[in-house]
Amino acid sequence: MKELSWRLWLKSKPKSINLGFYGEVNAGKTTLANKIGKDWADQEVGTVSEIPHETRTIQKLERVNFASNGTQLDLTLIDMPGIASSVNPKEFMKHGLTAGEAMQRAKEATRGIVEAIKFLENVDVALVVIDAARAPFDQVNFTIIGNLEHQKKPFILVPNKIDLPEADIRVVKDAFQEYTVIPVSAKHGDGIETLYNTIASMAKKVR
Amino acid sequence: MKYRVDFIPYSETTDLSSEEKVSYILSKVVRNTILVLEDGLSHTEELNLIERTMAKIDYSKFVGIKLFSIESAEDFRWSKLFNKGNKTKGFTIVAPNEAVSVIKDKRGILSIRIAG
Repeated sequence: MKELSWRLWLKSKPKSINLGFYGEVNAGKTTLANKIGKDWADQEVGTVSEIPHETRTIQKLERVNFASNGTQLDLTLIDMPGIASSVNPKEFMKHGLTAGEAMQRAKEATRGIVEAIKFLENVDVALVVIDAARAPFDQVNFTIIGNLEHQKKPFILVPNKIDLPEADIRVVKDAFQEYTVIPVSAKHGDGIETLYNTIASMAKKVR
Repeated sequence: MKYRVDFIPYSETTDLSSEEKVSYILSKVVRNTILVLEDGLSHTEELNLIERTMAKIDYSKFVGIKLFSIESAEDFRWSKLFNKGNKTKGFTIVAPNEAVSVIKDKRGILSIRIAG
C-alpha cells in the first residue's frame, strides 16, 4: 500500500525540466527567459541590454511551476551567455563603455561562452533563440543545433523579435525547415502560447 | 594586415584526431592564416574549436575566429549551405575574425570579403 501511494505521488509530481536558452549574442534570450519567468513565477531571470554580452554568467530561475495543454512541469529556466566565436572589446566601446569596462566585459564574456558550451549536456530541453530581424546564417546557430541533435536533446528554434518590421520569418523557416520553429515576440508576447504548448510536448520526450 | 589563404587538402588532416585537428587549425589561424579545409569539421568539432578559441583570445592581436561550414551540394542556396547532425561537411572555412566579412547575396551566394 505504501509503495502504491509512493508511486501515485511520483506520477502526480510535475516533471523537473532544465530549460536552456541558447543562441547567438543579442538574440533576445534573456527577454524570452524573463517573459516565461514573469508568466509562471512572477520573477525575471536577468537584465536585458542593447550592449552585447549582457549575460556573461549562467542565470537560473528555479521552481517555475509551468502548465500547458494538461502538462505540468517544474521548470528551471537557465539563461545562457550568448555563444560567439569572437569577443572584441572595441565592439563594446562603440556602445559607450570605457576601455577598462570594455576589457572587463570581454574577459567575462569569454568565460561565459565556455561556461555555456560546457553546460549544454545538463540541459533537458533547449530553446535556440534566433534574431528574426537578422539573417539567420550565423554558423553558431548551426553549430548549437548540430550539437543538440548529436546529444539527442529536444529543442525548439525560436525566431524572436517578430514584431520588428525587418523580421522575416519566411527566411528563418526556409533555413531551418526540418526543425520545430516557433516564432515569437518575447517583448510583446506574440506566439508565446504556441511556444508554451510546444515546450510541454517537447518535455514529454525527456526521460 | 596581410592574410594568407591556405587550402588544406583532405590528406593533411584526415589522420588527425578531432583534438589534433582543432589544434592544427588554431595554430594557423592565430598566425593570420585563413583556412579552407577540404575535410570539414563536424558540429562537435566546431563547438570544440569555439571553446578552445576563447582560451587563445588576447583581446588585441587575436579576438577570435569566423567560421563557415558548407555542404558539398550542387545548389549553393543559403538554405542548403549547412549540414545537420554530426556529419562532416563538404568543407569548412576558418578565418581570424578581423580578416573577413560575409556578404549575403539575395541569389543565395556566399561571398567572403578579405580585409586588405
